[in-house]
Amino acid sequence: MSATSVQELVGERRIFVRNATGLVRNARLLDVSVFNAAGTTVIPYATGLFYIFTIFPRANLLAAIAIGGALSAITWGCLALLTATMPRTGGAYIFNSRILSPIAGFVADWLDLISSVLAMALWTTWFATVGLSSAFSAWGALENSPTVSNWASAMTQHGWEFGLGVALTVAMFGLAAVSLKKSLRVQNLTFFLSVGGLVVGMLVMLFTSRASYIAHFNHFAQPYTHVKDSYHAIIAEAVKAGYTTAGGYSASQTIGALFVVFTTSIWAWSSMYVSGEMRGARSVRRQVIAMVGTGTFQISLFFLATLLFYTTAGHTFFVANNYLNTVGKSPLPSPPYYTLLAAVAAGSPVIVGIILFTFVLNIWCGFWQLVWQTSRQIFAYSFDGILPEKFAEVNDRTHQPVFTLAILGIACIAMTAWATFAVNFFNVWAYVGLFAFVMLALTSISAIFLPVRRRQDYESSGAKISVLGIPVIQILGVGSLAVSVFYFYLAFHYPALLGTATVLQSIIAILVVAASAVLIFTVAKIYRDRRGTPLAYAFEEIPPE
Amino acid sequence: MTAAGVTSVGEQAAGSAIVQDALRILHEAESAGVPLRLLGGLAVLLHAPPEVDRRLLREPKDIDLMTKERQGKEVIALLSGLGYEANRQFNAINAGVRQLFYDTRNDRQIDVFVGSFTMCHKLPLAERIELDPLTVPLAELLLTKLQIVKLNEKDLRDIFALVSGHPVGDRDEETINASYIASLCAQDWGLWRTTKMNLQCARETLTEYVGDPDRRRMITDRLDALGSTIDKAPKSRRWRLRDRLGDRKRWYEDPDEVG
Repeated sequence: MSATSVQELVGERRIFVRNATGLVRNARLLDVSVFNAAGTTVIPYATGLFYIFTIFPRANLLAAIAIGGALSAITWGCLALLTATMPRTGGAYIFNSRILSPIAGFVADWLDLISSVLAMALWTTWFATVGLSSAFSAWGALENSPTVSNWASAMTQHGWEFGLGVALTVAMFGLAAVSLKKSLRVQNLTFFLSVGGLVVGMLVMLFTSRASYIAHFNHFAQPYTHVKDSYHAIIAEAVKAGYTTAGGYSASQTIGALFVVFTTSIWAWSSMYVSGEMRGARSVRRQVIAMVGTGTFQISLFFLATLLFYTTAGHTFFVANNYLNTVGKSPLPSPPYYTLLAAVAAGSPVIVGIILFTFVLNIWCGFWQLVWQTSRQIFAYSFDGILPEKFAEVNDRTHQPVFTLAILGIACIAMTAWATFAVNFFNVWAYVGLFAFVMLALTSISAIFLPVRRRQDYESSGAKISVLGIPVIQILGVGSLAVSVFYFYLAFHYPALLGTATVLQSIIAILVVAASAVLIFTVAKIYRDRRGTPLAYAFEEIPPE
Repeated sequence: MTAAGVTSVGEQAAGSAIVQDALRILHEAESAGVPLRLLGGLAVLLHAPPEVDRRLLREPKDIDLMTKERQGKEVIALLSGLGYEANRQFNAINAGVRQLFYDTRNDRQIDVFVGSFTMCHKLPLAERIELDPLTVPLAELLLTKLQIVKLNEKDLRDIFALVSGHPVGDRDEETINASYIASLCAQDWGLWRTTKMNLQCARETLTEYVGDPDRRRMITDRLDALGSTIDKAPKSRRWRLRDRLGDRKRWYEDPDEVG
């Protein structure tokens, strides 16, 4: 029989105390950890690198990733402690509305909700442009197949971009409406497969020498560049187009690149919104693993992947390739994402297939992260009475908020249309970050005030940890607030980060979304007051677990 | 249990407000065609025959109920109609598996398990829910206690009350169906592990709860008979594979406290 005898276990046994009935919640620690990493691992590396080198070609990316990761860890730690204190569906909305002010909590969280719906549009459009198109173009070029290459071109057309985005939205929200457990299973599967593909790509780069890599690349690119030494020709072409290697790394550009690292990688706190469904959510250890652990994992993977690609493919080549792609002068048939660069060196069609198509799977888990999070934000608003009760209804058969998911799906399709036909990619990405960081700033302030404004909750929680008599949550709250302020400083100091929008336009965008939240809150307040169920009652207590 | 569904002790306990409330819920559920049965301390109390040591029995604070899968909506309608206040947020998030209601007048909580009972281990309690008119069958009732990794005083009392009041055999009615318990344990290594651990614990702590040596011997014999039936049941392939890992991998869930 088993390793430990029954007698041994009984020998250590104690009689325990239990005050209430138990409940095994749906989401395991693994599920929420994967959830936190799903939107920041794999594809964001490709889009993040592309984004950074477009704006800051002289940034020391490795330094930016390390510094950005360290600063993000302050926010992860702060939110992990806050979530362990009040693990509720609705996360930051519950913290801010109960610790600071109901209307401020709602306004900040509404901004985050809109940020997430905008981010959904990024993921749905990436399905065609970043995912399928880059995979087909690399596959077509490597296998010398014009048919597959034509598919790649088709994917970049707006009709396909929108159509595939809609198909993905319907599939995603459809599964979410059927079952949370199934959605979590698919989340984990797509995440591990896509990370597996990334690791395969990293191993290929690890075991390829620079000379061998250049030979592979020249063989691949010769039909497109029509020169023997395509590797150095690409660098020369980039220099001719304006890219300069003179002066080496720029400290100023490296600091600017932190904005992109934050926008790519800071989201490892997303599980605070679903902590009402997490097992053992009151445990500080589990929250720290889910947020700080996951964040550290994904930022370390980002760092390692970048280091390997620099070492094997060469930093100058890597940046020059991205630069040419940005200015529209790349001779290559596919964007120079790490997937293409790794696939070039892979040799075997099977490995190429794994690298390219597991990359596409990452779209699913990255998108899902936003779906689960936003549906729970709306749930929380509805439970408090800000939105109609209909938004908190669950389907009798599936027990999922089908109505809320349908509304979110429609909003997602509208945003996908906007992102496809009407707006610059950089604008969308900038708004995603700016809106969310308003919420992060306010939540950091909530962390600072928690021990004062909700003393009893703080003292009865595992987050009651002090250093030199100062609560750690307050120290992390101050640090996290500084990170948020620094983010806004970067956004407004380097206007190129805002895409085609100006600083003023960005501020107006924030104010417009905030004003819509104030309007919703005011209407709800008037309606509830007239019905004799004042909105204020809801905010007097934390919702039951 | 008698034809009316209540034993002698149960009949005495029927005077208490909580038992009356529970019986009223079951009566209304039956009228509405909703399969609903008691579990927990109330179920143990209602099953207790006169010879059970009264010190082992307790008056529960809350009402625990079990219903079949996809009966959640009907239960919400039933209990809300009877004046119990639903925990709307909890029920919306956990409606598929659990529901919480409050009896605000009596400061009581009503916990409804939907479809299956999932705590440290998952038990298919809804499968044989119709065997007993008021509670889940005795075998399942005992298992809801034996599956708890961190037993408390009340759990141990309930185990002793059930085992001292009912023989162990291979059928149901007023007998603890050891064969059924063994068949579940033979499928699920984790359940087997915790059940065996708790049977041993019960033997070791019995003297603290039961003073009469004859009664202690009877309870020990019954616990041994149950353990022996569990040991003899042929184990599934999955069980045998899991057994190789033993305690190196955690074999149970650690439920959160709610309510």
